[in-house]
Amino acid sequence: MTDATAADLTIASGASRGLWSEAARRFLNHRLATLGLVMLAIVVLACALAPLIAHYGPNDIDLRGRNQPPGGGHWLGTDGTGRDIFARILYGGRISLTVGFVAVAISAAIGIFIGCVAGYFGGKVDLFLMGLIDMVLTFPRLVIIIAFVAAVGPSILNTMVVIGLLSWPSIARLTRGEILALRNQEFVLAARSLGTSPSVIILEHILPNVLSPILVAITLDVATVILLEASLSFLGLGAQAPAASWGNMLRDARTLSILESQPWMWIPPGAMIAVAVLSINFVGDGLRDALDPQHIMGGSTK
Amino acid sequence: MMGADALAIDGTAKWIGQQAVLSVQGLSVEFGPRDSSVYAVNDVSFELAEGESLAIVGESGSGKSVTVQTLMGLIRKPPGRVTAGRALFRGRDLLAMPDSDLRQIRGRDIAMIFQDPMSSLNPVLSIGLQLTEALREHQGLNEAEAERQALDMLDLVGIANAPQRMRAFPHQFSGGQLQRIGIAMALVCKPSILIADEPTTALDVTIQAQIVELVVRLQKQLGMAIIWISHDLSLVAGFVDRVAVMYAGSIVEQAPVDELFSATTHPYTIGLLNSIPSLTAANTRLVPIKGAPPNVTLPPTFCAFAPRCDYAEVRCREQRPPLETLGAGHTTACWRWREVARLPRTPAAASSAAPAAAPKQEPLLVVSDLKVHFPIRRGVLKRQVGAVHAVDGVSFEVLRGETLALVGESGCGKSTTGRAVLGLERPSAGSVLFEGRDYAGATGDELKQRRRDMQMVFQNPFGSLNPRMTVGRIIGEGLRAQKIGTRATRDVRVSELLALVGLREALRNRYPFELSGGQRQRVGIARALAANPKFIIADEPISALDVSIQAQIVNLLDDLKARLGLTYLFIGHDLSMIRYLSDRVAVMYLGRIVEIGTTAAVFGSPLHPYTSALLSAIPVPDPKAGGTRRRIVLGGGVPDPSKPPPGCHFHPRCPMATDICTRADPQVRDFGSGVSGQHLVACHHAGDATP
Repeated sequence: MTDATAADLTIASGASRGLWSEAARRFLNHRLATLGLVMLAIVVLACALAPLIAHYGPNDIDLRGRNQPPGGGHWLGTDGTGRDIFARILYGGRISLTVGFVAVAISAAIGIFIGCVAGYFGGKVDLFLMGLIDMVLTFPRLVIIIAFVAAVGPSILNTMVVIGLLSWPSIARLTRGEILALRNQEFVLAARSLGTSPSVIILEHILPNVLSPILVAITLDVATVILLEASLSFLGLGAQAPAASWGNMLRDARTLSILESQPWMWIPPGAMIAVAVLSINFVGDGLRDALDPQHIMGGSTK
Repeated sequence: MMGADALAIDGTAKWIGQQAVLSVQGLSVEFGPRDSSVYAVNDVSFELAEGESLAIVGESGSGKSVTVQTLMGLIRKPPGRVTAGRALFRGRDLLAMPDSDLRQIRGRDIAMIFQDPMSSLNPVLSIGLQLTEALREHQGLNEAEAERQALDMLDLVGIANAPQRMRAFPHQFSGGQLQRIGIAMALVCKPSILIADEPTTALDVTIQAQIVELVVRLQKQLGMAIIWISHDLSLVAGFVDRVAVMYAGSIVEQAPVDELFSATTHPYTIGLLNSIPSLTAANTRLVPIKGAPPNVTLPPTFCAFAPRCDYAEVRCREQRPPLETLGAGHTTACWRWREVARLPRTPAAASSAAPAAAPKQEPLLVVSDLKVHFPIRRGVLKRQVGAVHAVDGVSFEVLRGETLALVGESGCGKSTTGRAVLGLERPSAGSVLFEGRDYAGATGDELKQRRRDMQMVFQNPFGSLNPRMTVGRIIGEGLRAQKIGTRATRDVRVSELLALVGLREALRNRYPFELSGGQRQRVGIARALAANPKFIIADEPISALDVSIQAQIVNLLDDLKARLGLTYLFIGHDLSMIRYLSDRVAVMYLGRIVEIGTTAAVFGSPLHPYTSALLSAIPVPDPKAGGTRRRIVLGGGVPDPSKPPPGCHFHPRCPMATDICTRADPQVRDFGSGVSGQHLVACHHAGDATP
């Protein structure tokens, strides 16, 4: 009764807003999340609009201006073959971010589907799918990816697909857990008693209610995958020269002389990875708080 | 534990001490930021004499819990703020006292028991440790002495085998036992005031009777004063000295218990009394309080009850009525109490919808020997090691046009029975004939067809509506699922349904969290009615609602039954409500029906000892009856349904049990006559002299 009283008071005082606009308001009140969103938007826009912003192509070679420090015509300097670092950062970002988003889209699609099926139907189906999840989770991800890419040849597409195919179990697990918790809620029973089909129940009743934690997990996964792609490219298994990505820019800058005397070659890609990952994490945290149904619904669930 | 004590509770006991042990004066509490305050408690004053028991009664949001939590220093500040008032405990102001002093008083002089015994005990500490902790903290006892006193206290609250149970953890006790332990925890330091915040709301009615009896006995033994917070006026009528009725943060009426019932002066109290079905009077229609519980975000400068009050006049909306003293200890806050007090108490019942045409004797639903067993699986291979016998051979008929009520305590299988009938649970055995066709274990299209004819209204108005769908979508869902009509005709139907259940069209685009509990339950009913079903299973549709709202929903169900020619299976545990609205009653215990017959027969001359005990445990909204009525207080709790007792499942708690009951399942026998109709009882001793 004590909780209910407090909750009733909140309901009574709460304005009548839609669920999503309420969540958006809460998100924008979260200072770090807003900062993260703004930074992420700037990075994404800059990468998308690279041809308009950069004065040089990513692979234009300026033979007279190799190893130039920042300043002058090249804002962030040039690398050992005279390519503009700023242009390569923007074009490289396209690849890094694309890999991040596409790979996570693949893994989220697989993960949510398997999680839904396992969680809603339960029983033997669940037992089998959980076994599959555990099996995939035991694969050492980086080793498998390296082996796979070595076998089929390194390319951006292969990288995305293989990362996507190996990253879904965590999302599947999370989805399954959330659905198990919701499956016996009265509103799901009510939908069943009305004759609603399982697919509609999952899509209309269950998924919208479990979406927030999944969305948060997905956001955070994007950051992880960007790092993974950077590691792969650093190892020479991701984007292939001459194409730029943040990871292989770091790889190109890994000699001792560059590390010591030409920091403009490795600081910008490293900083971009850090900024992108950090802002995505901020957005994820903000989403987690904003979408917490307890806040939105006034703690109505028992 | 065994057997039952029959005892009469002396409801007219007078308190001895006349000096106030606690005096609350003008207490006001607000929540939230100053510019948009929630006025939770407004100018509340009351006194508590030594050894007296006071009940504070109100609906959710009335501020009753906040009031006592403020006294105990348990509200969080912020967002809470005490804006005015004093609370003198033996002359010392609890509200002005430093935290360290209050901590001393809390637990030692004023103790509290809570609604949910499970969550008020720490799950990872043993009961003994939690009990002795308070003693060592407040009384500086050494370990051995503290343990001895803790043991005494466990004995006192009726925990058998206390030395062993001291080492047990909270999850190893049943709900009723946990509440006993909660009481023991509160009383170890022998406080002078015990605050009980809805301590029986989460418990079954037979367990509730045990706890009330225990608290009353302990009050006499220890001579303490009690503040009993409740939403249930009939429950407290039986054992308290005085009642304070709260509404929207204010005390609206306060009186000695007899006077509150016999000389009611506040329209809200009258409304509450009219919303409770009487166990003795004939079935007149309930008179609900119109509207919904108030919004407490407006400053209390007017009578908060005015919008729902039949006697409200202009003055009520402009000025807040002061608490006027009528007589000895009777105060009321109403501008028009003199006129209100003179009105007859039960308004000439709004001509109860002509007693629904006598049901035709044709069964709509025939359930025979229905069993639902849930397997218990263990180990890696999920081998089945046993089964929970949730429903264990249940047979009944529901006649066209009647309301059959299925009653019993939690865990007796009544909800599972309802779900199995609808096909939400797969029956392990038995048949479910609806209009002559067997649907037990139906799947796919067959099941879909049945769901056009049969629908369910759920218990929890908060959990049964998808929080992310609008009201319109929720109501129209059945039509979409059954592919009935086009989008346009479905829209029209949703409007019809909204009107049918008494909701404004404007609510169509709202989300459930924006609605009150009563409105949500109306949405749940509209959803069930969407596809024009013939048969509605109502699974405790009112138990989660406030008293004044319950009557609205019951009346709505009644009207719909008459208008749409519905048949109801009503699942519930509130016996007075069930007596009011059902034609026939089936009483369930541990997966079996022990007695089934017409409502008049079952309530008038119960033949099964369990039914008798249930009926005697019903709180009566009348302090005089509460005092003279014989109560049969059952010992123990409902056994584990995975290991039901052999023979008659009820025998371990039965006052009439003999040897045969422990061996043989009782046969169902018909004790009905031509007049009373069929009256089936499953008891070896039914028909013998009643206890």
